[in-house]
Amino acid sequence: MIEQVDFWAIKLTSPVHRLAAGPKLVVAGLILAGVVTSRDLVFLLGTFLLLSGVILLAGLPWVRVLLAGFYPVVLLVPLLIAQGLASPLGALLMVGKAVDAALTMLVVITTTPYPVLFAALRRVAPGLLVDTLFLAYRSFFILLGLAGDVLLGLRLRGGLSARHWGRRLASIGQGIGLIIIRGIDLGEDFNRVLRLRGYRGQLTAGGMEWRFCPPELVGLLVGVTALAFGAEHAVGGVLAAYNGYWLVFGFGVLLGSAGFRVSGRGGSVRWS
Amino acid sequence: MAKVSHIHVPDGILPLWLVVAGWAVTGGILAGILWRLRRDPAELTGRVARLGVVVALMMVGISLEIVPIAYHFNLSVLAGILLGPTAGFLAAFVVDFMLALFGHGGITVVGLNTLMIGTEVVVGSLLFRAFSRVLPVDPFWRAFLATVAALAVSTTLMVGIVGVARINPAEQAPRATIAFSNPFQEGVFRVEVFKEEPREAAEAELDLSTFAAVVYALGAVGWVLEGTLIGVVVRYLSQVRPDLLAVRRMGP
Repeated sequence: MIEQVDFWAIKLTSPVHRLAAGPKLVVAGLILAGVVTSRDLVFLLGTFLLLSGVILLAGLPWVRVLLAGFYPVVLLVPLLIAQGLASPLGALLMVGKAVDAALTMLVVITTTPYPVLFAALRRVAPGLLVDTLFLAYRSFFILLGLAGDVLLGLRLRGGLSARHWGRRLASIGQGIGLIIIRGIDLGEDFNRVLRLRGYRGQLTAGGMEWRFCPPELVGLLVGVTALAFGAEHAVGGVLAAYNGYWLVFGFGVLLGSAGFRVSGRGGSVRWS
Repeated sequence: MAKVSHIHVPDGILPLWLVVAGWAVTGGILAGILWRLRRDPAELTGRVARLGVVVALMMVGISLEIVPIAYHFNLSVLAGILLGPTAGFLAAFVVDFMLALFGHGGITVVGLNTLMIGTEVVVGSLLFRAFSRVLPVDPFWRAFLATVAALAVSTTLMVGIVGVARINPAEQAPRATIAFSNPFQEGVFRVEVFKEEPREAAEAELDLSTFAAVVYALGAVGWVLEGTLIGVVVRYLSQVRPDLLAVRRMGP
């Protein structure tokens, strides 16, 4: 999944990808705050439709991203079993919040290249932490390639035979051991590179883009509206009487994005 | 089964005070670790590269799913064994943060999730060291026992957090009414999609004993699987590169 997300973030080009990273993160934060505080299933449904529309507009594989967005439901299973059928609406609320929050994060990560995202984090998190994130992300792809080679080797030598579970587990364990050794060696090499370059706790990284053109302003307006509808109970509950409009808006964005995509104007892969 | 040995709580489920407390505790621990690391620039340089690789290894472990039982490993105890408890806790935070970006656990509850995974790292690391001193057995068994114990402790912590949270979805008074009011005159129409009868809050409260039963029953299978895998990995490392298990680690 992670390598696919990286591919979509870097290689796709679409109106969502072109949004400046700074305002995009602010919009995501506003929507997330609205979702987390909401008690309104209609708002959560409207937000789901809106995010689905954004996924279409970005040219992302709709079904695959939505499936990833539903993954938190699996994490909720023990809670839902324990809650039983005492409150079906309450259970739906938990599921709706978890899915919408996950989709919000997925939209950000699939449309923003990771160096830009981590550069944004540098403003709020210690440099060492951000460097670890950056190096982990970089190492992940190297190790994933290595893991692929190790798995292929194990398969070719019959180490992953379905009949022998014990042998299969032992082979996987030894494969992971091999990946660890190669990974640590890789880390030591990189350590020497950092020393040579005089690393003192902060890697240099590009800055975050802040631009407030009409698309970014529209995004911010949507984010503020989402927060207002989501947190309406905290400010008197007046907006609850208008939640149908949010649902229609979400549906409209979904339909519009579908039309945009069908007309061939959605996200496309930029090969370089 | 989906990895119940160390669950990640999604967004919007736990009360705000608990989420804030989770961030506060995790933030305090991380600040202490980073302060210690910064005191020694040479140590810092060495740690950052190794931390990045171990976090990446945990992410690779998570990517390798055992399809028939929908289980994936997170290798947190292995991270503790390789990095030590303090740097291992840092690795737990980074992994949780990255997972949250991919929708695997909530971004607002990274603090609490880090405490859970961090507990696995710290307990696993300390137990492995203790077993290495007192148990004259194969490294496989030392790693296996440390892993199973660490996962049992973190699962108990999770049950404790859910118990303290007293999750009661009905208490939030969820609504499912579509309304199209006109702000300038009387509302045009209002559709009640689903109406839940009002009930006593206690009636809808999450049954902690059922939750614990589900989590421990499914989790136990995961603990044994993860313990076996980490045992095999540690035995392999002890034969091929014992220095990786024996070097002085950062911190206590």
